[in-house]
Amino acid sequence: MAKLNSQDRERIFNSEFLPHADALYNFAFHLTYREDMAEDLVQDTFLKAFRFVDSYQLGTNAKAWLFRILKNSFINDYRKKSKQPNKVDFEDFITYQDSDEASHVGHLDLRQEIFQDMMGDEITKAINDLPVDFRTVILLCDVEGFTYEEISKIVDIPIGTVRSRLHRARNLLKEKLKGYAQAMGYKTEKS
Amino acid sequence: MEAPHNADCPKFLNNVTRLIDGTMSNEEEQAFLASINENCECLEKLEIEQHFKQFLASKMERKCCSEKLLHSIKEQCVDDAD
Repeated sequence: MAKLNSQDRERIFNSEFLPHADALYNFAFHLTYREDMAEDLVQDTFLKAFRFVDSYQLGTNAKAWLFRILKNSFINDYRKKSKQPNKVDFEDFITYQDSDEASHVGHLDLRQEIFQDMMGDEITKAINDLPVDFRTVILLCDVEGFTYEEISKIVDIPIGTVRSRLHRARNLLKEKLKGYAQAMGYKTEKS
Repeated sequence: MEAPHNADCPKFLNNVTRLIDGTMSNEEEQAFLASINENCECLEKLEIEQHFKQFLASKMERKCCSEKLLHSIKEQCVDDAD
């Protein structure tokens, strides 16, 4: 692969990488829950991207490439530091969730007007309380709009696992939001 | 595409997930929608799931990268290049 000159490197960095800074920071924050760690993670990601810009193929999916770098940095360097004692690890969690592939979480109909008043804080808290592997697929799919194929490459899991993980993650979120709604006195089950 | 038995059928739920996440081909999508066209329970379930996805995306708090951080990143890259 041909080495880029410094002007080309800078141009690619500014035009193809930097526009994704907000999305990367948002992802990093929701992985770590800490602003200082999210900043370090984003900084590391951009530095790695800059150093390895020669291996980036111009015109391909820069956003997915950057998210993959960030996810790998998180796994390799940050995950242990950010792990919270009250969080359940995906691998622990999956052992008792695995038989529940087709589980159904009743009806949580968010079309009801009352849910439109639900605060963003509650939604964010419910997502942040998910095990990190579930949280990751929700953030990548529902917040960032990546396809299953892109998520599969970013997270290094088969497409079928992306789909089943999303299904489980959404069911968990519905349970959490249903609990919140019921605690607030709202009727959530269809009669 | 075979019609689902009910809105809790795993095959139906799997197809709903694929549809709302935009991973079905046009042909698959049309066949799936045709298969549930007269099933009110399935149509309602699909609508609820579509709404749930939109709800998450619209309500999730988004954090932005500060100008200070962007400046620091650019500076570090310049240093790295030298």
